[in-house]
Amino acid sequence: MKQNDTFHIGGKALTSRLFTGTGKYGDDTLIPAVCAASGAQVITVALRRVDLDKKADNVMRHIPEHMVLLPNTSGARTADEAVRIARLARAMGCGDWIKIEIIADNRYLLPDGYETAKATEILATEGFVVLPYMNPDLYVARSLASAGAAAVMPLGAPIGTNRGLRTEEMIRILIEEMDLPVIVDAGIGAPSQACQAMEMGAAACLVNTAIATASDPLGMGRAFGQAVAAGRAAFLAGPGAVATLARPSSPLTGFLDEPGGAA
Amino acid sequence: MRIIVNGRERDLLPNQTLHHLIVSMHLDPDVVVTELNGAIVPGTAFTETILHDGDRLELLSFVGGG
Repeated sequence: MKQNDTFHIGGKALTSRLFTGTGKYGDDTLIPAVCAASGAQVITVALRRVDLDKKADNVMRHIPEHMVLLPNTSGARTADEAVRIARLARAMGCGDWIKIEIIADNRYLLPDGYETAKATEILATEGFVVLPYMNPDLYVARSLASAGAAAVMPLGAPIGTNRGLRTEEMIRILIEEMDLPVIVDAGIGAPSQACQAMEMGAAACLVNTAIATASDPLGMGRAFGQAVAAGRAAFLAGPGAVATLARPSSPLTGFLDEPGGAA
Repeated sequence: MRIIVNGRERDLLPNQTLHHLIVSMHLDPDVVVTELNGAIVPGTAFTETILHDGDRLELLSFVGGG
């Protein structure tokens, strides 16, 4: 395998290609152990109004120091709202990375490509490292690239469904056609699916629900870390050709008792 | 005087700072980000920001997300 297979994004060199989240944990105190077990280096958080009626735990307390914070703009329905959230997140001192998530559809939580491109352009100009969540559509990906995105984050399946790589063929096209890193985000429910995305040549995978809602989040985090690394190694190793008819692995000559063979 | 905090009316004594309000609400100023009348107020300015009657304040913080 290639040595020092680092992943460069936003001026940072990452050795892990698994991004993870902080949502849906039954117990947030598990987060540091999951980070350690999975090896993830990038972690997402969301920004919300403080609930004045109940004192909530601060999720930031559970995020290990070395992690790269990737706040998302969830809750935004327009580019303007996403820009506002991104600026607030940066004002909180959590760096320049931002995952744009602009959703007006509450049933399938599908992202709005047009508004996402608008927000990407504004925030990239302001110096953010913009990672937009998107439908795996080539034209949207191109508009995000021209708007200054640092990567594109196509969905594998609707958020939180654990349904896997339902958009496989479209993601394959993005990987083939785009110069930007393609980070598969949303819907990945099992390590095998993350592995498959990496074998296809995805630059990274973001997994939250599948880890956080597993019976053993730590064990699942570890499995995802291994799956993503295995898929990446397989991609770098260059998979052999796929054929329809059988191709013998052993020679089809020199059988015992073959007529005209050696005496 | 009266201000709006996260969409809710709140009575306040005059000349109170943003820092004082946040602390009096039992919130940690280090983990709160604020928007006062639509403009972000950085944490470094909490102690010198005086609240005025009719101000609209948003207090936000990070939560778990994916």
